[in-house]
Amino acid sequence: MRQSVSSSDTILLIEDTPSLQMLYASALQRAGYAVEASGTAAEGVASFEKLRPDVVLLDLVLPDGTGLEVMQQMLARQPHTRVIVITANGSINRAVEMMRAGAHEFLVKPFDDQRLLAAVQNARRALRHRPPPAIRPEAAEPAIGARFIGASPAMKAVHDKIRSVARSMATVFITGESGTGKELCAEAVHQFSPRARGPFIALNCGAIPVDLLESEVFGHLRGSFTGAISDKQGAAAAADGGTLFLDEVCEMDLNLQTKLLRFLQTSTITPVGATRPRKVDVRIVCATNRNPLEEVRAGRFREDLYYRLHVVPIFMPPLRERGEDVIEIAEALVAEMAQEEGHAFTGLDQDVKALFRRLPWPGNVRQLINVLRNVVVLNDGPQVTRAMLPPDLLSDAGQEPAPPSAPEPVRPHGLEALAGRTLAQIERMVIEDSLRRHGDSVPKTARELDVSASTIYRKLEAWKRADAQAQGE
Amino acid sequence: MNIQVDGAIDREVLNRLLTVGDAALSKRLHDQIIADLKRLKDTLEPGSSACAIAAHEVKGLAATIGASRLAGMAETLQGCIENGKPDAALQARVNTEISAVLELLSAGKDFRARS
Repeated sequence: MRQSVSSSDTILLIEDTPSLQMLYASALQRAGYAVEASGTAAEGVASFEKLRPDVVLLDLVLPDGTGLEVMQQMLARQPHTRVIVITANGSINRAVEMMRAGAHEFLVKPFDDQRLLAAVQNARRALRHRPPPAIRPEAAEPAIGARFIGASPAMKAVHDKIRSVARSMATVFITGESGTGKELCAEAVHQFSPRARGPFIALNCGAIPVDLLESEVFGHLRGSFTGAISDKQGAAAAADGGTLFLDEVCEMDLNLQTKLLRFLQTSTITPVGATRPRKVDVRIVCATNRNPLEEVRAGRFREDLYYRLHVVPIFMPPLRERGEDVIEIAEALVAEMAQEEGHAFTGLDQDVKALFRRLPWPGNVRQLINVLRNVVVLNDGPQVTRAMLPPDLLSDAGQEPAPPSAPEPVRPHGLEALAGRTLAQIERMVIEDSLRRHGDSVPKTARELDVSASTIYRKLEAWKRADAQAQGE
Repeated sequence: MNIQVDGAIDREVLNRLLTVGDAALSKRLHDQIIADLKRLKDTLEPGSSACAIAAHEVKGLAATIGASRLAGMAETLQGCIENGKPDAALQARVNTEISAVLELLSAGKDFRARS
């Protein structure tokens, strides 16, 4: 082993298979690192005490103990240590468990030299970003609540998860319906992380045309394509030292998914038109309102990318499953908006509270914000009453009972009636039929068809758009 | 049981591993991989308490050297043992597969030709 200037720069490698130990050590040494190698947990801990290394590569399964125990011991002695866990077991549960316990990164065998070196470089860069002990993330505990109102158990679980993942480099995958606060969650992960002073760059993959997305993410050089009139720094480079938030990540086309995967594997970017890759240090947080596994099954999302991104999942609960949060959020919003608009509102009356608890809120907090903005702008207070609410909101609550003798629509008999139609057309027929039978009540229709109300709302929206488009043509 | 040697190792993966350093390193690494696999083969004898850990180790090593069939079998075996259902037949197949990989490695002088 080479002698290094400072022992803390030496990389401690704890790996029990001698050939793999040799392989990893030689890759690190060729890249100029000093390496101390151990083959057992006991030997590894002893070397740790001697060297106090900043970066440790740790195999998860050792002959005389688990990597988890070794890591906990090391982090207790020296909390800033960056532990890169290596294992042959690619289970997501295991990865989440290790990340929660404070691992910096998780490498699954087999990995190549490039991946190994990228992980070590990331870990060393993260050391430079580490905050002084006085403002360690734990000290800032109340701040999550400041942006996220709500004390329901579902939200408490979200808060806990944000706090526990923020410290690591782990990629966070946020799922949840539209309007549930996925971007707020991503910002909180950034603010609670050691990279809080670095940039937070958000990019909505669904809002950018496919052919521009690549240069938005990775940048481009002047003249690399028509319209590229100057060099452009992409989001990945802009987020160097900070967090890159990829919203609606499932909208990304397959070609770009391949490039994103490459970026995640190597931590390098190659701007459009550039020939040489460039290193960046970015933590990725991504979000989608779709079911990512379904996208994988349908072949629209790369499976390997999914597993690389889906290290720590956070599910943002829909508003209707957050109990009393809807009232707490509504009252806070009314107070804030009333002040902005100069109207004297004091809160919601009992009737409105009861109604709000019952509503399905397909658009979640965003819908609640729009409804209340509408109320506060158009009315003067002092309390929000049912009469002030937009009429379409009331019909969501299933208030009006279905007319008892609704005209029976002509219903097709037998499957022959469906012949020649697409599955999408048949789906629409079935849903519209059910809506008719339930007096256009979306919640009742949703119950009958055993789907969420928001699914039906989404479909109604899509049909409305498609019909409008068809008429316009 | 016949030892099916063909396809036990992806030569491209192994070559890449063995040609990154100088010839001396390449030889040491090659010999160490053989030594590791022999040790693991002995550890995987039925009834050994260290079987699950050994299967896990086999999986990591096999995946790294391009022996993906062996890696897959070892992973399944590890799962069986951890779930309290040791599978003697599978264990025998893992042992046979290790032999196949070892045979290829021992014969594979050409692996080092490029270094």
